[in-house]
Amino acid sequence: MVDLRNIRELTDKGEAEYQKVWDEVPNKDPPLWMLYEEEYSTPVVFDDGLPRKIDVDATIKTGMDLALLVDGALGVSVEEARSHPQMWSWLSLLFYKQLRKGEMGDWPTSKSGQSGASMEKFVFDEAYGAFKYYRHRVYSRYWLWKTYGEDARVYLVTSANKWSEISEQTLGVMEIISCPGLIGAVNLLYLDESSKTGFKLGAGGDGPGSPRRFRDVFWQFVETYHMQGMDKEQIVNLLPSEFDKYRGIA
Amino acid sequence: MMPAIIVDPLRKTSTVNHTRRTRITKDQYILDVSWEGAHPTVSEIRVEADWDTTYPEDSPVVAEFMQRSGYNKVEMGTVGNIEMVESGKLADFQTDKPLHYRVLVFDPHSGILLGSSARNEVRRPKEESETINILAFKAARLDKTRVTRIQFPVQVDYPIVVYINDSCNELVEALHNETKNPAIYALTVTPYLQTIAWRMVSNIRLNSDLDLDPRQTWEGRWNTWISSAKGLGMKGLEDIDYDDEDKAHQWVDSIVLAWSRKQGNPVSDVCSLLGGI
Repeated sequence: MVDLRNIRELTDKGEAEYQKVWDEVPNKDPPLWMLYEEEYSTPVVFDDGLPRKIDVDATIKTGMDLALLVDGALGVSVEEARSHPQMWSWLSLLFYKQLRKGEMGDWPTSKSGQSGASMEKFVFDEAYGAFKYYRHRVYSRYWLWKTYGEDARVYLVTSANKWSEISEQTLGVMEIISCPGLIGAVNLLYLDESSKTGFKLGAGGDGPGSPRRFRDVFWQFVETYHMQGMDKEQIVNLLPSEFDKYRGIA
Repeated sequence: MMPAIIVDPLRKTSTVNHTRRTRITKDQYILDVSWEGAHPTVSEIRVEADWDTTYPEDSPVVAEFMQRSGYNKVEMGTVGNIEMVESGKLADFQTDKPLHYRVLVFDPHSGILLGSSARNEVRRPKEESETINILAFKAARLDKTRVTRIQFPVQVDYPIVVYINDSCNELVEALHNETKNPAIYALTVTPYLQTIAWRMVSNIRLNSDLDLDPRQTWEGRWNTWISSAKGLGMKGLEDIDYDDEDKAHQWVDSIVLAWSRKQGNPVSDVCSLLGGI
């Protein structure tokens, strides 16, 4: 059943309330009650003076489902979408139960906060997550799809409530996330949509040719080549033999 | 065909240099970034060193800029014909975050770097904490039917003044009160903000040479407040096509919207003021 409602953004009060989820370990239940409370959120008015609607009952299985849903609802430039930071927090709250493993009353959390459910993945707080913005569950999927399209599939085939090793190893580096050739190369190397995980076997590990090794090799390459001037095939061909398995050679 | 290079041992901190690239030091170039306006701008890049004997003359020279996931490059020609850049807008970059850059010289055929600067960080310089009043409220004897009236300044060091009928003492006190009742501000400032923004558009349409230096005109002061990170952080007049009616409308609307958002929830505040819940 489709239930279209205006996309909203959290107010300062709403954001503060949302952050309280992470005050305790295990984390509290998300404050879903405030989704449509005027004091805690307001409808977003876009540059054309109009609001946008989204299906609040949508079923989201993968990062791609999420990216397409949000992109279809917004229909604006990335720059404009980016200019509403608390809209991303509201969207993550709206779909919270589909974006985090667990259920109401039981949200598994490690004490170190490294269980894949830390705050920056849901609350788009630039002050808190200054160098972790790329992990936001909703914004990162939307941004990758809008910026790189099909070349970002490897980052989007994962379940919407998971953050892959590939994403963690490669998106946190400014020179990689901003380079079309490198993002495309990661896609060429590790994507296998016929597999259960969406990745080639071993892509989630740390052995030879793994995403972790890709990042190590990258640090040498960026000192040696003008990476932004290279396309994905050139970069894949340049990689040492340990990547043959993922290149389809071995 | 890319030449093979040896890439082991590989560590993030590796300094392996099998391709004999040279280090481009800061004394070899001048690079300045301007932080005025909605986006930072490369105001100057100039090569000070003689690279003719260091690199082949057909080697491209590029300054690449990064900010988070954003990338911009400024092409500077080749070593044999270096173009000095006087202005380059770094689209999509924000003025409230630092940016990183490298100056590169590379082989046009293999893409191998022949020379590279370190990855340098540039931050917006801290603004001097000078506070300038650009909007004032003053009580005045107005016609008894008139609540407020706006007056634009004739001298740059005067603010725009909203005169309030001194018979309406409650409104004068509310606007001067330190608690700044958000509902009162929403009802008074917001409509005048729209008027002020339209006056700015109108004035620059009449005089395209209008000086937007905040030391020279009231429009410059307001433009600085609108576009600075400490103000509204929106596009400035110089960033829009103000002759295009739609673009001008969008700009004015975006200013009112940004102001309203900074106030929190003015709709709710006004409703509460008028007895709503």
